[in-house]
Amino acid sequence: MKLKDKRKDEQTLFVILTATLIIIAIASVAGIAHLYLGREAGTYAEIYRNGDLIRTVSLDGSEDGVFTIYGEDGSFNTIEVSGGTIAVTDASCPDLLCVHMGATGSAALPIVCLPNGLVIQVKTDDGTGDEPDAVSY
Amino acid sequence: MILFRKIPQRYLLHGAVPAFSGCAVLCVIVFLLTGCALPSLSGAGSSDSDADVQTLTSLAMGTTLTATFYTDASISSTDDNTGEYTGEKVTSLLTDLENDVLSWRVETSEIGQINAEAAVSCVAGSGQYSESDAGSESDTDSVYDSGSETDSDLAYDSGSETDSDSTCDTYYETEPEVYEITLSDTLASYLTEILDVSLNSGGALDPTVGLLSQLWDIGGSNPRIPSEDEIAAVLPFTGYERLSLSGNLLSVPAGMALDLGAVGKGIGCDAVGELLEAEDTVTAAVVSIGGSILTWGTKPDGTDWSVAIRDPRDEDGYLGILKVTGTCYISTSGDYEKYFIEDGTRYCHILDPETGYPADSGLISVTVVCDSGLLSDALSTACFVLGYEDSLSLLSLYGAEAIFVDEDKNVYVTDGLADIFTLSADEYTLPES
Repeated sequence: MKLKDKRKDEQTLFVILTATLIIIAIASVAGIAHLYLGREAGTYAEIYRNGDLIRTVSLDGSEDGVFTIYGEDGSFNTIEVSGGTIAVTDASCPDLLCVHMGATGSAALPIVCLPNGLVIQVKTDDGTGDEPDAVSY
Repeated sequence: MILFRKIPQRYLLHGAVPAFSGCAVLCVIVFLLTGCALPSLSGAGSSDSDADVQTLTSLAMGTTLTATFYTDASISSTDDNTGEYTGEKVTSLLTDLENDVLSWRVETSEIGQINAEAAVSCVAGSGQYSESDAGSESDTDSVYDSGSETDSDLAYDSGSETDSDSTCDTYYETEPEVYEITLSDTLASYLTEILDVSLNSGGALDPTVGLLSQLWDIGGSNPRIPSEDEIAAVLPFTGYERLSLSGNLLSVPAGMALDLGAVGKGIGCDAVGELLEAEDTVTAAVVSIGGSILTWGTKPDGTDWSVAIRDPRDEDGYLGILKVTGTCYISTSGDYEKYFIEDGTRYCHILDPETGYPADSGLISVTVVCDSGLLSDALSTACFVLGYEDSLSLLSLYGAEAIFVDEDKNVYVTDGLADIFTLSADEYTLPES
């Protein structure tokens, strides 16, 4: 009886250890896959001011909203992110060309505000490694 | 823990062996997976300890400048931050090129000064190139605007006409005076190449369309359809054949305004290419100046450069992919970048110098690939104006290759690109295949 109990305990231990390890392994794989796949089909916008990257915003809907980028000289650009696109909705520049450019969701259509030194560059990382090195337009 | 205490040592060891074997196998699987996944995450370049990738996003020449520099730290260099340094050099090089030479928007650039002089000369109706006048009367618009500008007083003084609306007619009826200006070697060499393309394209590319561009202002703040009279009034002040360049001496008829907008970005790519030749640590680079592309050198992984061409009717999509090797200049002209639509008609920024109206050749996009940025830019504009059939002889004259898209979404690819261009947009067709 005693020996049988011990065998039973041994089997239980083995099952528990194996199950734990399998769960850890699956969790690791899932975690990696999530990290990897999470970047897939990710479209995001990089916002540069005077050539420096100051903010990266995802265009997948998770960061939709309105925010304003201020310059040291008091200049500003108000930026709206919604529906997979990004747009400048208001700005301090005199010509407002950046506002008139409308919304963009494309790497080929950067939004540029020359007076305020602002560039919004949309980038896509589809995880396949097939992204072109450049886009001619 | 209770479970562990109850189990005698020998059983624990006995049970642990398969368990740890399982652990080892699973760990191997996990590491294999992470090992496979991580290089994909980190991207090209960083897997090699010596190779480094520097990217640049900036503004230059009135447009977006993006660049990727592949550097090799094992090549001896005095600067340990070479990639970034290269980026700074490229930005300042292009800014200087724009401000000192090319820009028709900057009064102090060579082109700005030529335009200022030609305009002043038209108004003042007298004289030679005069350094002291440069910049003081530089608003070329004022001469042709109908009297609202204060500068128009000068027009009254200079001519016999008192009606400012007829100012231009006055200068057209009388033989326009010609002014001689000595150009820098840089600008003289650019203009020589540009005028060569103008000649060979029958004026489809014309650097003298400054007044016409200002009139339409497509891509500017006040685009509009000018009246036929307005266009007729400025056409006499355009025409590349009325420019003459002998050595560094340029003769410009009074009232003419130069506009190098069609070739500026390509000239910028050429300048960057020259700069990269002198950068020891940069082994490869891809540069985009507002969509005009330079690929330079060979990527560290040895693969071809992959350059997408924008779908002319889908701002988010690609028409297809070009795979090019080594150093290459690629430029696209289309009706989609700067345009406005009025009453259902699309008015694009590429003007036909012959008619004074936006080009209407049946093409919606032309991409030219060749070994010079200036030429790829100049030829893409010329081909866009000429149309598919008439472009082929021009392209072969310069050894250039092209991809044409017409308004029926047919895509025509010249022989040299047939094997390296892959059409990816569904709604377009390659008629030859």
